[in-house]
Amino acid sequence: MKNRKLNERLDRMSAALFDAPEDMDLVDAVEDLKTVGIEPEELCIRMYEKLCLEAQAYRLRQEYVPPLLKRALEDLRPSTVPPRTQVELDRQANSTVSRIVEAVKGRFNLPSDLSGLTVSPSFRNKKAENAAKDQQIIDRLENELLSDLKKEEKDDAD
Amino acid sequence: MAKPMDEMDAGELIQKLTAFAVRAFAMYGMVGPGAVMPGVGLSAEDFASHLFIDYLTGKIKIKALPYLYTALLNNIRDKLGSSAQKTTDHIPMNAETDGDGICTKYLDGFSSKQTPIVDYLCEESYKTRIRACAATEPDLKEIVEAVFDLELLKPAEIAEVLGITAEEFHVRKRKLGRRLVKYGLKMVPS
Repeated sequence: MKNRKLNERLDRMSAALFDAPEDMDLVDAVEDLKTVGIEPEELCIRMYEKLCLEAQAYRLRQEYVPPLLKRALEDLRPSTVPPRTQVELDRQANSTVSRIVEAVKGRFNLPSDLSGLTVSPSFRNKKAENAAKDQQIIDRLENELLSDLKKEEKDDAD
Repeated sequence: MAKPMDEMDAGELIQKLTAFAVRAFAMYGMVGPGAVMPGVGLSAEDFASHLFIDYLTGKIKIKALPYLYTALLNNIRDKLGSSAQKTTDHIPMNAETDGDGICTKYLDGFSSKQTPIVDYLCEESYKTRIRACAATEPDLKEIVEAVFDLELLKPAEIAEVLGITAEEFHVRKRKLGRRLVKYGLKMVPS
């Protein structure tokens, strides 16, 4: 009982000092793992091998492999192992794309307010190389870029 | 904002659980490649994978990430307790009792209604080790002082007292977390 209370007190202080674990994103997790010498890819391969043994034990007992275990095996199946079905191929592709998008998102955070965003005019000011038609194209592209960024920001907020 | 658990694939989940176990290990001074719990021989990765398998095979019924983190932390603490049990000699103490046989004072002189000295030492030890971890970085030291000395726990309150934005506070917390994982909380000589 006393230990539980002490642990709760320490947990409250830890939560104030460090990120709450629920808020940890994949980029942070990967960074922490690498700090202590755990390669995320190798971790997933080791986990896959453990799960294979676990699933095998179910099959040997002639029991159904639990659905979550089955799904985890599909997710973790190393890319070096060829997919067995179209569904597996789709899932593998989906999972790879998700990981790439997550990693890119983590590194590329747009500013929350885009209203003050301006595009560098250094090229446009070189009048010798810049015809009126070029200027129109550049202005149009600039507007398109800004509206795309605003739209993306709005989508993220939704 | 972290995404919900049902949107995560197994790879993401095991990486997050292992990273959390690594952080919990660091809290107890077990840090670096190949760190294992003394007397138990399990690594942070072992704890995370055992829990992950329990979750996948339905031994853990609650499918919520905060619950898994709490369960993982409790598993580590339980094993630490049993590890200490195996490696520590306990000397029985006779409690001082009044006429009704109710404990009033222990041999350490503390009233029985006070926090036992062992618990006090644990909390003090935790605070001392966190302070030592942040000692060389003034911006981190400030956060630690706000939490331990001013007893502030809410992020908004801490940020206000330090005169920084919520984003800056979040960045500092993350920095402290990185230091923890890298160096761990080491025992500090008194």
